[in-house]
Amino acid sequence: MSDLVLPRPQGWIGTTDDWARGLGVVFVVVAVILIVVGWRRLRDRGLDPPVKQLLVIPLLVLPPAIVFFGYSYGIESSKSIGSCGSCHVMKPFLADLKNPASDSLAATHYKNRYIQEHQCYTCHTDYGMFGTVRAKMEGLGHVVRNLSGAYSLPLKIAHPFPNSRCLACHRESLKFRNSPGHPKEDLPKLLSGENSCIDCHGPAHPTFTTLEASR
Amino acid sequence: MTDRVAVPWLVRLSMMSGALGALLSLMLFLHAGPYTLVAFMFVAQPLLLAAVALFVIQVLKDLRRERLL
Repeated sequence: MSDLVLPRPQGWIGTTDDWARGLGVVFVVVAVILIVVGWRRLRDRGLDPPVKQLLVIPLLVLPPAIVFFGYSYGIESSKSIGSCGSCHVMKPFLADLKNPASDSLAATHYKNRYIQEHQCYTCHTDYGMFGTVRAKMEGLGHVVRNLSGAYSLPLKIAHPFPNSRCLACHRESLKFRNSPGHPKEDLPKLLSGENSCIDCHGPAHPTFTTLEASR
Repeated sequence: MTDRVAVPWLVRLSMMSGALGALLSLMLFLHAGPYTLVAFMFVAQPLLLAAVALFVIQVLKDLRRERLL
């Protein structure tokens, strides 16, 4: 799949992410240089007006810009499957996702591009702002547990997987609506979560009892 | 031998905080991943915020001392 590199559109000047990253790096470098210069001048001259004016840029103007571009780039890049798979414990799941021979639900969605990008994030984030915030907070917990090794194998999802994550994409598709497996009288049970999509269409991922698959 | 000029500790702290926050942010820009993102969100951001706040406090103190506020 990766050998198909699309040509850039005419007038290509990079993505928003590229710009956020590039400007972020430039602002950080400028801020650090100005702080170093300011530090040297402070030692020699004290906090006189020219030094104060110099320090306005790295201590007042640039920090909000660095935070803005850091958020913009960091949050967006954390949605990538590479970011999810960067923890050792996630590598078998990433390997399965990319395995053309795998018929797990996740791999099927990935290899057929049923989800265009950010495949992990799309399925594991609830909808709406609080879903995103909750996913980020849970992500922090994952980082802490991965660092401390406070997890046990096989990994289990923390909460039952809500059908709303599947139905957000599938509920309006004709394939879903016309499927004999989804009779109208059963739809309320699907919507309420009484019946789980995964019960019939799972498993979403293989069960890994060891991390051997990542080696 | 040169005499060292007294520098307000608020400015020193602001500069150290700003430099550290900026360098931690640089880690995120150079290698985005879960650890660098957590470091950015929970360490770099507060440091950058502290740098701004401490510098503003120093400026306000100076303005008050000069009776401009």
